[in-house]
Amino acid sequence: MSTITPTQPVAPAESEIEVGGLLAEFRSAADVVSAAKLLRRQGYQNLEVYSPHPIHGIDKVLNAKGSLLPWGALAGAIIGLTGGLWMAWWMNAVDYPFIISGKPMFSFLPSLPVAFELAILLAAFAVFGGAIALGGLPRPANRLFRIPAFARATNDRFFICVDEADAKFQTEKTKTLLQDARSVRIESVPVIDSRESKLPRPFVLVAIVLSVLALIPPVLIAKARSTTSTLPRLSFISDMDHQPKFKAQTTNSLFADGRSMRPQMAGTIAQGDLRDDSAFYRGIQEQEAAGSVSGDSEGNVTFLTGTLTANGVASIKDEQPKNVPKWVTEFPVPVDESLIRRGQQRYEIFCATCHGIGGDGDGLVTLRALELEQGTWVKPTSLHAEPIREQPVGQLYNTIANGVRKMPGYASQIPVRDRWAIISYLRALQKTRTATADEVPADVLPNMRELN
Amino acid sequence: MSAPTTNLTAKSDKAASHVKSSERTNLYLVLFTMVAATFVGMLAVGIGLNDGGRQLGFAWLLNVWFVLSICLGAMFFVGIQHITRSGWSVTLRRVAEVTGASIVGPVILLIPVLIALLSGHGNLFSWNDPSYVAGDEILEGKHAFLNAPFFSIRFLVYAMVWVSAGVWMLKTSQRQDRTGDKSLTLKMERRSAPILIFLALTTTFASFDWLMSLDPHWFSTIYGIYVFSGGMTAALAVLSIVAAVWVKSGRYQSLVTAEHLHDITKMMYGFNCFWAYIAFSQYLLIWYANIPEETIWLKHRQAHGWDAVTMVLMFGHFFVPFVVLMPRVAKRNTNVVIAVSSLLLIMHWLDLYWLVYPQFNESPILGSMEILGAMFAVSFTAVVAGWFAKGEKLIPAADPRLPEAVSHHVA
Amino acid sequence: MATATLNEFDNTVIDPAVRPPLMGGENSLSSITEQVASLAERQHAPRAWKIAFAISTSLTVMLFALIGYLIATGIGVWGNNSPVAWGWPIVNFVFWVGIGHAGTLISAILFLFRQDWRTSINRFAEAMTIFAVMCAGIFPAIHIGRVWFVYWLAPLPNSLAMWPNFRSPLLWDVFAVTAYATVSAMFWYLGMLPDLATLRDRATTRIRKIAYGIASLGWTGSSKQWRLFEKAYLLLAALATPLVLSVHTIVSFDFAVSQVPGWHTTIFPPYFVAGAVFSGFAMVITLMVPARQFFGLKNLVTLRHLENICKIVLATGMMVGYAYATEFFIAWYGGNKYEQFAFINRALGPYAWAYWTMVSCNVLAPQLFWFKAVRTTPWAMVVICVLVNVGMWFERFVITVTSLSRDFLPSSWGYFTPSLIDVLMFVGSFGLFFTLFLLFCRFLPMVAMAEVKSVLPESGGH
Repeated sequence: MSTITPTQPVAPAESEIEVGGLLAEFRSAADVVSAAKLLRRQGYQNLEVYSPHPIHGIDKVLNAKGSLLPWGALAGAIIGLTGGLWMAWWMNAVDYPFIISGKPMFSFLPSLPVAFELAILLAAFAVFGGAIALGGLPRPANRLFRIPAFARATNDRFFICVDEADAKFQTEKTKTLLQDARSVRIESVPVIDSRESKLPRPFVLVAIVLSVLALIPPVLIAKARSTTSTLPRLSFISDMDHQPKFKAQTTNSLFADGRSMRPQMAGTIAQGDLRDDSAFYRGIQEQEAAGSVSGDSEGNVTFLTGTLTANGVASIKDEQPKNVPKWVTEFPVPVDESLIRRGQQRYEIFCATCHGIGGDGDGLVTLRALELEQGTWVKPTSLHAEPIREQPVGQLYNTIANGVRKMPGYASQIPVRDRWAIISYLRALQKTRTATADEVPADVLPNMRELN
Repeated sequence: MSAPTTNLTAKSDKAASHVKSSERTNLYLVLFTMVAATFVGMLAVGIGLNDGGRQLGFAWLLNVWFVLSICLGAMFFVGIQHITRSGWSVTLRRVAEVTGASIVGPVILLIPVLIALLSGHGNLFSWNDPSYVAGDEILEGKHAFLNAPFFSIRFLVYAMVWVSAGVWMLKTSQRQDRTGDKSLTLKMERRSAPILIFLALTTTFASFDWLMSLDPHWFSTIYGIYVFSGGMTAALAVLSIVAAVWVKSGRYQSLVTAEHLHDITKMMYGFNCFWAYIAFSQYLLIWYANIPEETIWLKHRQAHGWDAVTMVLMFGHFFVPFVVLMPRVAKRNTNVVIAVSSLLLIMHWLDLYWLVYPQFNESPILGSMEILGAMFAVSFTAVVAGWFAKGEKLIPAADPRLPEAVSHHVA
Repeated sequence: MATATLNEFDNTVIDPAVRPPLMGGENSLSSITEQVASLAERQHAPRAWKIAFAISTSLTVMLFALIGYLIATGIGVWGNNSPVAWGWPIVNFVFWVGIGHAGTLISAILFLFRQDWRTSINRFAEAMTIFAVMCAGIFPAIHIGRVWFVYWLAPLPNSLAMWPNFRSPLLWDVFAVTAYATVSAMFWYLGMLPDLATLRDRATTRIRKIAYGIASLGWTGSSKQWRLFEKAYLLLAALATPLVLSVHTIVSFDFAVSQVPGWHTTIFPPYFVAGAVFSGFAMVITLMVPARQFFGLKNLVTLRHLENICKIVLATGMMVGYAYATEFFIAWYGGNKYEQFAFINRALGPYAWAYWTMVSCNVLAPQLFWFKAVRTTPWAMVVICVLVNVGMWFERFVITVTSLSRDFLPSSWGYFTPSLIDVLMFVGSFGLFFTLFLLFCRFLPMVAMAEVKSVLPESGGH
C-alpha cells in the first residue's frame, strides 16, 4: 500500500523501516477536518494538519490555544510609545537642550508623531518576529520534505501527520483508521535524524569566518579611539576642511607686493568710516582738520605707502603735523540738562575711578595705588587745576579719545557723543569750585548754605 | 436559495412585529410631556435670565446641533452601506434610516433661529450685529457670505437636501419591506453616491455657517470634517446601543447577534479614532504655526475652566473608549458596549459644547438651561423618529442581503 | 502556461441577492497554483519582458549615475534655488510616497473590511508600494546634500553630542517613512511565505530550490503555522492601517506646520491621505491592466476587481476635489490677504497652467468613472488613471512651487525652472520602479495564491 519514493535507490522491506509516524493525504479541506476529528475522538494527541490555505475551524478540532502575539504587539507598542517620548524629552530637553522656533523644549504634541511611529514599528516587529519564531521558523530541515508527495501540501492537497510518539500510535491500526477517513495515500514518515537538523559543515565554516572578519572593523575603530596619533586625521570626504582660498598674513603671487591681505585703495573709505565733521569727531576746527587727515585721532587706517626701508617707520613719523591743532572752543553738540546728566553718569563710570567723584584726582584706584606706593603710578591732575580749566573743549575731547601722558585713550569704550557729554559735565563740575553766590539760582542758595 | 430566504423573511416578520400599540401610546405620552415640559422650562429659565435670550439661543443651537449631527452621521452610515453593498449591516440599517429621516426634527428646530436672525438679532451670531461688524475690515469683507438672508437661503438648501435624502432612503427601504422589490436595493445604491456627495458638502458648509461662524474671525479648513467625524461616531454609538439592547433582550435572536454588535462597535471604534486624528491634526497645525488669528480660538478653550473640558474630551472621547474597547471580548459584551457608547454620546455633546459655548461665555456654564435643552432636542427628535417608525418594521425584512447578515460571522 | 480565456468573463453584473463570484473560469486549488506559479517558473523570459527590463535598467543606471554626479558636484545641479528651495526632489518624494499608499491600504484596510476581492490584487499592490517607497526615499536622502551624514537624521550617540530635532516634521518624516517601508516589507514578506513555499516545492532546478528554500524559511503549512500566520496578518493589518494614514499625514505636516500661505491649512492631513490613496489606486490600475492582459490573469483579476478600484479612484478623487474647494473657500473666508493671494496666484498666476492641469486631471478626468461603460473598459481606465497620476504629480508641484515662488515679499519672487538633471532623475526613478517591478513579476508569486485559495467556494470562502 505504501508507496516507495523513487529517490530512494534501495527500497528496504516495509517491516525493516523504522517508522517515525504516518502521513496521510486528503483531497479536500472537509476530508482532512473530518479525519482530524475522527482521530481526536479516538484519543490521538500528537497530530498536525498541513494545508495549502488556512482551514477555518481546524484550531477547534486540534484544541489549539490562543497566541501570545497580541500581547507582544501591545508590549511593542508601549515600549515604542514611551521610548519615543523619552527620546524626544531626554535628547532635546535634557542632554542637548536648544530652543527652536520658540517651541518649548519638550511638549507632548510634537513628540507624538515619532512616538506613534515607533509604537507601530516595534509592535509590528513583535508580531512579525513572534509569528516566525513561534511557528518554529526558520527551519532548515524537515523530515517531511523527504516525502515527495508532501510537496503538494503547498499546492492542492491536505495532510495529517500522526507522530509515532503519540500514545495511541500503532502503525497498522492508525493506517487503517486513516484509510477509513478517506485518505487517498498514506506514507510512512522517517524518524527524526539528528544529523539533519544540524547545519551543513560548509555553512558553519563560512559563518565562523565571516563573523571573525566582521569583528575586524570594530576592533580597529576601538583601537583608533583609544590611542593617540601624530598623523593628520583620515579624511575620506573633505567636508570643506581644505578650501582653496587666501588666508590672512599669507603670501599671494597674484599681487606685486606678494601679500594676500590688500591695503585700502587710495581715496576710498570703508563704510561708516566717513567722519567728516571734524569738530564733532576730533574736536579740531574744520579747516585745520582738512590738512591732517593722515593719522588722525579717530584712526582712519593709513597703510604704509612708501617702500619698505630700514628707517621707513621714522620717516612716516616725520610726516605727522607738529603744529598744535586749532582746538574747538565751543561744544559741537547742543548742551542741555539731559546731556550733562548723561555725562555725569558716564563720568562716574569711566573717569571717577581715577579722577575721583569730585575730580580732585582722588579716585579709588589712585588711593589704592598710592597706598601700595607704586612708583609707576602718576597721580592724575586735579580737574580743577587752572591749566585744565582753561583747556578748550576740543583738547579735553582729544584727551578722552586718545589719552595724554600716562592716561590711555578711551575711544574704544566711550562713544563720541558720550565724550562730549562727559566734557559738559566736567565743565559743570569745574564751575562748582569757581562759581560765586550770585551765580547760583536764588531758590537753591539757602540749601547750599545749610550744606556748608 | 429561495426557501431559506422566505423562511428568514417570515422569521424577521415575526421578530420585527410592531411594538404593541399600548406601549407605544405610553411612550408617546412620556415623550410629548417631556417635549412640552422642557420647552416651557427653557423659556422660563431664559426669561428669568433676562439676557435678551442669549443663553437660550446658545443652548438651543448646541442641543439642536447635537441631534442634527447624529442624524447626519446616520445618513452617512446608510449611504456608505448601500454604496459598498454591505451585507452584514442590513439588520441594523433600518435604525440608521429612521435616525437619518428624523433630521426633520432638528431642521424644524433651527427655523426659529433663522427667524431671529432675519429679524436682526445679533445675540447669537455676532456677525449679524451691524454695530459689531462696522469698522472691522475682516467682518466687512465676509459680509457677502455672512448675512442673514444668504445664510437663510443656504440653510434652506441644506434642509432640502437632508430631508429629501433622509426621507427618501427610509421610505424606499420601507417600500421594499412591502413589495420585496430587489431592484430597489440597486436604486438605493445608485442614488447613494450623489447623496453622499451632497451630504458631504452640506455638512461642511452647515458646520461653517452654524458653528464656525460663531467666532466670525476664526477659520479652519478641517472644521467640516471634524464635525462630521464627531457626528458619525455618535450615530454609530446610537446604533451600537440599539444593537446591544437587542442582543441583550434577545429580541431579534439570530437577526441581531454579538457578531453584528462586534462589527458596529468596531466601526464606531474606527470612527472615534478618526475623530481623534482630525482633532489632533487641527490642534497640532494651529499650535505649531502659532499664528495669533488662529491660536486665539484654541487659547479661549485652554483657559478659564475650558482647559478642564478639553482634558475631559481628550480622555473621555478618545483614550477611555480606545483602551476599553480594544480587546475583542469588550466589543462583544453588551454591557461594556452600552456603557462606552453612552459615554461617547455624552462626549459628543461635550465636544459640541466645547465648540459652541466658549463663544457664549469666558468660562464654562453648565446649568438647567443646557440640560433642559438637551432633553428637549432629543425628545422632540424622538417624537419625529417615532412618527417615521410608526407601523413599520425595525428590520429591513425583504432586503435581498438579509440572509448574508443573518449568517454573518466575525472571523 | 496560464489558461487563456477567449471571452472575457464578466462578473460586474449585479443581482443584490447573489454575490457574484470573485473569480472567473473553473478554478481549483491546483489550477490557481498552476496559473500563478508557472509565471515565476518560466525558463526564459518573454521577449517583451526582456525589452521592458532593458529599458528600465538603463534608466536605473542613469538614475544612479546622476546621483553619483549630484553627490560629487552638489545639489546645485538641480533647479532648486531661492526662493524655491524645495523643487522637484520634494515633489517627486511626495509623489512616490503617495503611490506607495495603495498597497498597504488594499492589504490592510480592505482586509479589515473583509473585502475578499482584494486577495487577487493585494500582492501586486503591496509590491508596488514597497518599490514606490524605495523610489520616494531616494529623493530626500540625496536632498540633504552631504549624504554621508545621512545617519545624523537618526538619534545615534555621536562625538558631537548632538541629537536630531524632535520638534521638526522633517524628522517625523524620517521615522514615518522608514517605519512604513519596514512594516510594509514585513507585511509583504509574511504574506508571501506560503507562496514562496509553493514555489520551493515546485522548483526543478537546484538554484531555485535553494533560493526559494531559504526565502520560505521552511514553511510547511501546518495548522500551527497557519494559526500564527492569520493572527499575525490580522495584527499587522491593524497596525498598518493607522500607519498608512500617519505617513502621508506627516508628509502633509512638512508643509502645513509652516506659515507659508497655501501651505498652512488644517485640512492638509486628511487631504494628503485621500490624495495618496487616489494616486496609489490609479497606479494599481495603470500596472494591473497591462499585467493581467500580458500574464493571462484575467480570471483571477476580473473586471469586477478593476471596477471596484475605479470606484475607489472616483471616491478619493471627489475627496481631493472637496479639499481643493474647501481650501479656496476658506482662503477667501479667512480674510487673510496673503492666503487669498496665494490661491488667486495658483489659479491665475504664472503657474496657472500647472494648476489647471492638476484640476482637470484629478477632479474632472475621474468623473468619467460615473459611467459603468468606462469603469469596465480596461483601456479607458488606464488612460484616466495615467491622467490621474500626472495630475497628482502636478498637485505636489503646485503646492510646493507656487507657494514658495511668491510668498510675502514681492521683491524676492521668482519663477522656478527645473534643470535637465531634475527631469532625468525623475525619469530615472520610474526606471528603478519598473526594474524592481519587472523582477517581481519574473521571480515572485504575483498573486497571493494561498489567500485566493482560501476564498474559493470549495474552501468555504465567502
